[in-house]
Amino acid sequence: MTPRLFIKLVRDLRIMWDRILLMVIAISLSLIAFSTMLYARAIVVSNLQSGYSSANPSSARIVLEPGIAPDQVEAIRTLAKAAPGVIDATLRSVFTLQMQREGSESTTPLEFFVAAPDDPMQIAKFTVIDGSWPPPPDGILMERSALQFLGLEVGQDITVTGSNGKLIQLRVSGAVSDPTLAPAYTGGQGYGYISTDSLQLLGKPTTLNQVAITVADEAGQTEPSHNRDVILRTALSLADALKGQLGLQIEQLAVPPPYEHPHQAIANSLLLALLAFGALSLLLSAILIATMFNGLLTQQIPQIGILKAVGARSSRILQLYLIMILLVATTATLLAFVPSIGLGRTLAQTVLSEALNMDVTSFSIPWWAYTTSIAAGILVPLLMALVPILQASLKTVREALDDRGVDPRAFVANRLDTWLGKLRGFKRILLMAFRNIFRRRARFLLSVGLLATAGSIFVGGLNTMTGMQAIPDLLVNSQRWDVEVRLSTPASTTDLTNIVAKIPGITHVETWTRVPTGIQYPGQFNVTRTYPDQGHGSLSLTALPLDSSLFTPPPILKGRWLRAEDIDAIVIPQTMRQTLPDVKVGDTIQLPIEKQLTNWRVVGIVKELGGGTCPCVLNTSYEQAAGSSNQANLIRIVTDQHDLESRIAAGEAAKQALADASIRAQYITVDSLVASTEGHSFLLIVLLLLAASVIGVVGLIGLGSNMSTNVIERTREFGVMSAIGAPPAIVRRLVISEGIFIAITSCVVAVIPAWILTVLMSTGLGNLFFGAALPFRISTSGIVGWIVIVILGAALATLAPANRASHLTVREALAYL
Amino acid sequence: MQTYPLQQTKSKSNSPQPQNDHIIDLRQVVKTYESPSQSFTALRDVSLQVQPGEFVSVVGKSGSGKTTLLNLLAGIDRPSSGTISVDGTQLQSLSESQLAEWRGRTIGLVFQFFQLLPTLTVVENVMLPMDFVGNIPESERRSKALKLLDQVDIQDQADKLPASLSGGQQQRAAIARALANDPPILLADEPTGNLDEQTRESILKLFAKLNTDGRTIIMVTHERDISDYTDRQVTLVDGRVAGDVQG
Repeated sequence: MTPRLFIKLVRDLRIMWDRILLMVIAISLSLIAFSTMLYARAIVVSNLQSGYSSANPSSARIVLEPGIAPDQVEAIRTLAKAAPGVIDATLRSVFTLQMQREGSESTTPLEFFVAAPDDPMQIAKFTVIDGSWPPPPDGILMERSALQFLGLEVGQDITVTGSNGKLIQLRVSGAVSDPTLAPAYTGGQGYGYISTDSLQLLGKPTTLNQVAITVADEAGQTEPSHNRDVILRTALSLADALKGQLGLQIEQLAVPPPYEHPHQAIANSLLLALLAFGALSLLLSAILIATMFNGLLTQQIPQIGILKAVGARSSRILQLYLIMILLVATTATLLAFVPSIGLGRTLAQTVLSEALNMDVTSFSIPWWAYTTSIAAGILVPLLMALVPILQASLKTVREALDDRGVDPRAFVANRLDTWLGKLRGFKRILLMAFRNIFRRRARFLLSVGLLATAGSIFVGGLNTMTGMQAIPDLLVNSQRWDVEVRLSTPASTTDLTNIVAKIPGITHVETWTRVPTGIQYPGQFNVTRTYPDQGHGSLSLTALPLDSSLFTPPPILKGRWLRAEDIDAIVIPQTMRQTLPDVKVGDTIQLPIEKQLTNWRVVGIVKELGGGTCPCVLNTSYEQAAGSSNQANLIRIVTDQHDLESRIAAGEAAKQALADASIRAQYITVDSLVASTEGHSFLLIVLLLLAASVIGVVGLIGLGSNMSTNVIERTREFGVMSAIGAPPAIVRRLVISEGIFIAITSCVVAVIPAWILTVLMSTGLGNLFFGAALPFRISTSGIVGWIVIVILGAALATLAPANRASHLTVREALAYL
Repeated sequence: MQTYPLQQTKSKSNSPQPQNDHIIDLRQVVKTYESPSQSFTALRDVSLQVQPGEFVSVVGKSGSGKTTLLNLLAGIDRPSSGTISVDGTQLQSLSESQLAEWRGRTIGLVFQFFQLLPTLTVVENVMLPMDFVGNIPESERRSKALKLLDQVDIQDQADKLPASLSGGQQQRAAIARALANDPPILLADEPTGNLDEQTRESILKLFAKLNTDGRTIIMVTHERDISDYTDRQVTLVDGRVAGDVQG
């Protein structure tokens, strides 16, 4: 580059500083959005693997019924460790009791993880961060996310209802961190760690009932296997040995997906959402750059003509503007660098701690992520600017010198225009504004494209968020009960109804049955994908009355809902296809119920998003299969007030009334079910909102830059209008009308892309999250908000340049170069 | 076809001129502009020869093809048919980039609206063509540019931006820029069209002086009464040469 061209470059940048600054901010913002997502994703992925593995989670757990006494533990460990493929083994127990909430009558489930005091802690490790292991017999270590969720501190006492129904006080003697568990708030429960020494106090037998093992691909290896089939095979063979050699009763084999956190699906959804928004913000940035640079060059085109007239080759012109965009892009990339790293780390930390209950062990960002970010920051603007730069630099001198920003030939009156002209009352100034926006079609298309892209992403994001937010409401609408009472053992339906229905405030009662089940495998062991928390991956069968008024059958994906004439019919949820990928309507599946193997014909597959009730069968079918009659272990209650207070009161009253009849029961309110569903989607909703907002801001910057460029390039035209007597107010109105026209057009154009994007995002995220698409929802506030923002923004963005244009003297405007 | 071969003319130039050695030679040049709705022929079968050192004015009404002719001579537009030879170079054989380089060396262009780059100072505007051609060493460019500005009497304005100069001063700066690489030919498109009467006179005198120094000048103008300054007046009517008068 020649010295004078360099001087010109610097001074041009200085003169156009406001537009250059907008361009730098826009590129920088979208790059920050992209890089933040990219870095966060990279950090989460690397930490997810290492964090989950650091606890050395068991590959499988063989659940024994009954449990075994501590003096037998060593024999079982020795047998298990000798089995081919088993790396290590230990014995644990997991059970849930209800914990009293301070100052409230409601209870919260508290899951107890039990280990022997001398457990070597090689498998399913947890890190003690306060206090020490083992806790005293009347002490408990609490998982730190549970402490936070329950609002507890180390040193405080908690009260739980023991297995014998007695209230027991335990002192929180310390805190642990367990990265293999989902955060406590998402499940609405607490996690506590006790040794077998505490079991007696809690009314439990001093036994352990889970043989937790880690399994290698081949005997002799020490690296746990990634292959669930290998793990399952090894666990089945060990279960055979335990049954055959030691005479133990096997209740279940729990084999969760190896190396997958229970919230892996949520993490995947979050990461996918992050990446999708990163890519979308980059796309928006690319359109924005093309639009902005196109506008910037428009002003420079006559100067390109002069440069060529005095001997500049096209390559010099190309070089000049490439250096200009390179400077802009590099500055934007540099500005985005540090904030992206900071935000990426913060976001990763939030995702890891809020969705996965993990600490960040390493904040390091891989080199490929930096390279991708820098390449995106520099190459995308260069590539996007290349077309307008090439077009401008290849213009002939005459074309360039004659360029006045608007090509009069580009406007050819069409029928619409002629029709508009004939309309009475259509003001000439509006007609002119309408015609003007079509005069530079490329610019018009880019402006509309930019705003429509931003609008579709913004609205699409908010629609998806609204769809996600609608799930708890759908849940409440489809499950019209207030309190669910769970019995520890089945009881007579007649008795249950008689006891509960007469409680004041309860208007309706239904008795159901829900039993744990799994998938039966050869060797006849019941196999599940249940995680150690007993919640994630578990499977329960619900038997419900056909005429239930408290349950609306979920949307049918395939087949049909249950009918009165059904005998062995079952309806399964879409999530069950994880366990049985090939299952289809018409198939017969085997489910173990109460240690009996039962056959069920699949008549339908339903879509359940959170708070799942299915697989469902009719009460009558269940009784036939289980060989029981008029028995139930679940009571669903409707209260007269439908508020939390009356629900708790009804729950407590029911629990007390049942206890008086020697029936032990716990209850949950529908609110806790909704809270758990909300807890699972909260983070994704916040992220969707954040990402949509960033896109919105980038779009608005583009709008401002675009509108001001539009005015600048037509300065001469405004001079002519002033010369023929147009008062400044008319010029101003003309320019603002054009801006508003463009904004309105972009809103109309955005309708279909926003709809498509909503469907894509709802389907993609929903499938990852729930195995089915999210409900399609339109965010009215999002749409109205965007329309208002974009129209107001267009008016405001054009106001300043319109004012400037209307106040130029005729001489200034005509001599404008 | 109308051909107006160069006749022996009286020359006001004192510089020696090789006879029959045309510095500009147009043969049967046609220029048609196509548009979606119609085509418009700006030049029809124009043949014209110019001797080195001549000062030729091209006159005609608006739309007669004057500027088109000048654009073709400067290589900033291409003929639809015919050949154009300027200073021994067949313009139709050059690419856009070659044309740009050739123009920098051979042609000095002066426009009605001056067309100075607004973000470069006057002296930088003059140095810019030197940068492109590279004939003059970098160290000498500023002093050469200042000399040229002195020649057009605005050396005191050298470090100002064009916007702060009067119209006449800007046109002088544009002329100095046109002279930057010492081109043998100056092409001026209505250089006085945007100037007041007094400034107009001084600019015309400046052109005459440059012609006296041996430079060939083609000036497109509306004005018919500049024969005091020029050797020859070519009149265009509807894209055809309707008159070619010496003196």
